[in-house]
Amino acid sequence: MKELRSEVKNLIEEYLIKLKEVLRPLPEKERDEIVLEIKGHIEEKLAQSLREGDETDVLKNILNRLGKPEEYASEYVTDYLLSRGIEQKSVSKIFQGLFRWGCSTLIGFFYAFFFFVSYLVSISFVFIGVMRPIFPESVGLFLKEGSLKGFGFFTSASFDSNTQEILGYWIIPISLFIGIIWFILTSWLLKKTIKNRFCFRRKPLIH
Amino acid sequence: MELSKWIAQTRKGTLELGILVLVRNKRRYGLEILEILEKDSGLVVTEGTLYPLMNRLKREGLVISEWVESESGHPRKYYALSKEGKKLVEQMIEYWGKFSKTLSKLIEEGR
Repeated sequence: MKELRSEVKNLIEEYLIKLKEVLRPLPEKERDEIVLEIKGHIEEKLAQSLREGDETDVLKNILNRLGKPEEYASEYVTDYLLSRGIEQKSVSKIFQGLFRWGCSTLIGFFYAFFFFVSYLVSISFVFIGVMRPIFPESVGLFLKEGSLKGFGFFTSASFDSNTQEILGYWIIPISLFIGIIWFILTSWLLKKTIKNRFCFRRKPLIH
Repeated sequence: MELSKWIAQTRKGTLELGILVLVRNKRRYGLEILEILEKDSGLVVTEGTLYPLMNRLKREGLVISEWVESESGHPRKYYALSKEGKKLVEQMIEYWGKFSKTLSKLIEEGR
């Protein structure tokens, strides 16, 4: 193997160090393998193309094709967080993965947005149930002359005296129930969506 | 539908098959797979797609990998089908055969 210019060596080293850094969510061993694999790729491709021009230019071309270390790492990190998150039932991994997915592709963005809103809805229902005993006057299902005025948490200025609250303390079990069912359905759908991302999965992931 | 969109979709849907077929009878490393795909097929793929995809196929238990030192001194990560991958790829090939036959027939009849 021909000895490379130190400027070229430094550029490669810099890229690999940065790549290892942005792969941080992954276990050490996997990070090392990913870095080693792409190091081999860069060096081998460089050795092949050296005749085509200046060493530094050739290298810059190769690195350009890979994209910035952050971009190159993003697919690995999203895959890891989502699949490990599901395996370990880790909410924080799933949400980090979902967030990354949302940032990297349009489809991912829609999914991330959808699940975020859906979880927010389920939490809101639980919140309404919990708030009823604390603010009995402000929480409820409000009707005025037979038509719906509002469901949830309101300030006293929202309604006039003709408005009635009809659920009473039943709102606690009802909204807790809806909130929890909504939460479970959202989680089930999220799990299915993530599994579909890995279309060939047959058995649990083993490392 | 725009042609370029359709082409992108089709490529995306068949890339896995292309890769699995490449490592079906012979272990290969990433750059080798990239070069073959670039040269011999319409399945042009970038490094940023291929390497993470190989990692995912490995995660899913379809390929196995091993590190081998090349003559030029670069350690290379070689991929080959796992037992499970072999089973799946045979099924995929069978399906692909039927699928493309049906489609060709439809095209012929539609002339």
